[in-house]
Amino acid sequence: MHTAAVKRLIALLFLFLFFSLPACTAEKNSFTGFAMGSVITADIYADRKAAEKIWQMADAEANRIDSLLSGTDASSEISVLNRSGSAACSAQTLDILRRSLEIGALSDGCLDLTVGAVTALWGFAGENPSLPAAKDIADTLKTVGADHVAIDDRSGVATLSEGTQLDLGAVGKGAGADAMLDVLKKNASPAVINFGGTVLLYGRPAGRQSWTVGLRDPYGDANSYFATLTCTPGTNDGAVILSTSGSYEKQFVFEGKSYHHILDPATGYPVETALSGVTVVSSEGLLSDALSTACFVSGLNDSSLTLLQNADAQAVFVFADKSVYVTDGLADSFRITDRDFHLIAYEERP
Amino acid sequence: MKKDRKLLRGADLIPLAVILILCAVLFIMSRSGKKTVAVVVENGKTLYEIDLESVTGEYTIALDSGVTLAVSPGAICFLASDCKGRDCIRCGKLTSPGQTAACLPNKTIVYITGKTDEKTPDAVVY
Repeated sequence: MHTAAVKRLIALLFLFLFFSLPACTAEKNSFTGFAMGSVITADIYADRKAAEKIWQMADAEANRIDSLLSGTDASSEISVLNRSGSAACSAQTLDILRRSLEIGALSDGCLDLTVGAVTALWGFAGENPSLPAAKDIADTLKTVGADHVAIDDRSGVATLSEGTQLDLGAVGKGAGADAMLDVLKKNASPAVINFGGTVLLYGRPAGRQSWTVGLRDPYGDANSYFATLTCTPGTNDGAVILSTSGSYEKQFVFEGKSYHHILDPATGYPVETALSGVTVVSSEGLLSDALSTACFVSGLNDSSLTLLQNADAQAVFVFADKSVYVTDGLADSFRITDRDFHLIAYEERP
Repeated sequence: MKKDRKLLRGADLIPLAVILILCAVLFIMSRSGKKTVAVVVENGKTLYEIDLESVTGEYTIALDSGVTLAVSPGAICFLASDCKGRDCIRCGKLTSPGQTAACLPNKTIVYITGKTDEKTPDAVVY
């Protein structure tokens, strides 16, 4: 073939690729499911057949983790452990327990999985939570503390002190998100998954460099947001997982006083705080989930900032007076969209 | 011998035009299906896909699950439900891609899909 003709052919080919590639980016496929008493929605960027396969595997993983950690499913490993006081657990359940206990220790007990008996007294898992008697809370509080859990690494048996009950509500969805992330990584398809409020971002969305995540407005409906975060997962299997702990999620009013569902493991009562919510951003679901609870319980202080820093995590602290503190690593990607909210410096925290 | 230095010649215009038309068709195809669509899922089954941009009036949809949805131009919401908590109704109107409302007891999910950009959240963390 003539050299000039080859050149022309190459030029035309480049032109075609240049114009057509943006139109050929992977399509967005949406899916929904249920696990851990929550809704899961997923947008997976791949061709339809591949996306369906990825979703089926990811959904199965979320439900598998639910079947290990559920407090309502009597056959889950955690339910069996709570019922019998001692049980052989799968390696994955033991890993989740160990990791949660580690984070709990680093948070000086602000995250504590052993609050299960106290949580049950309040009835937040059911439809009619109520204020327990002070004596019952005081008595049950004796069963709370990381020293009431023992894990035998050799036998794989976990043992609880008498009366101690585990509640993995603070880490369950995070652990589920981690399991779903493993599926996404194996298939290398960009996706955003919202697991009952815990948001998992993997890869980059088609035609864009970053994802945008809204932060729930504590005073608005479930889909309203007061700010956005621009998140850009790393190109090498990078993921970003965001988790929020907020006092607005579950609460009830008794004799004019409002009681929310995040209990202070030290008192057995809902955390008394100026915060409305804390959102934590990291590359690991369990970590984001656990730290959001720990930081909400602890509040905005040197301890919680050190905890975040040591875990290589970032956070947004939202106060009831609509002031917002953002850790340094999020400063450039955080944008307030509701003018009623305003940023504050650390020294200005309520 | 004189070299032909022109990259594109008159004869190339025809294939070039064909390529440009192909690209335009591909682009239009990629844009279609990016409408704001409300998807109604009951027990894992997709029951309705409603193009909210083409809705001109208001109407309701009663589902077997015990849920009633209200559809209006550009929006959809849970209007009534026989569930106890009524969290689904408190979700409010869904108008933008990425928004979701669900009635857990009735296993019913409504979500909005469509094209998102840097300004529209892909998800809301809560």
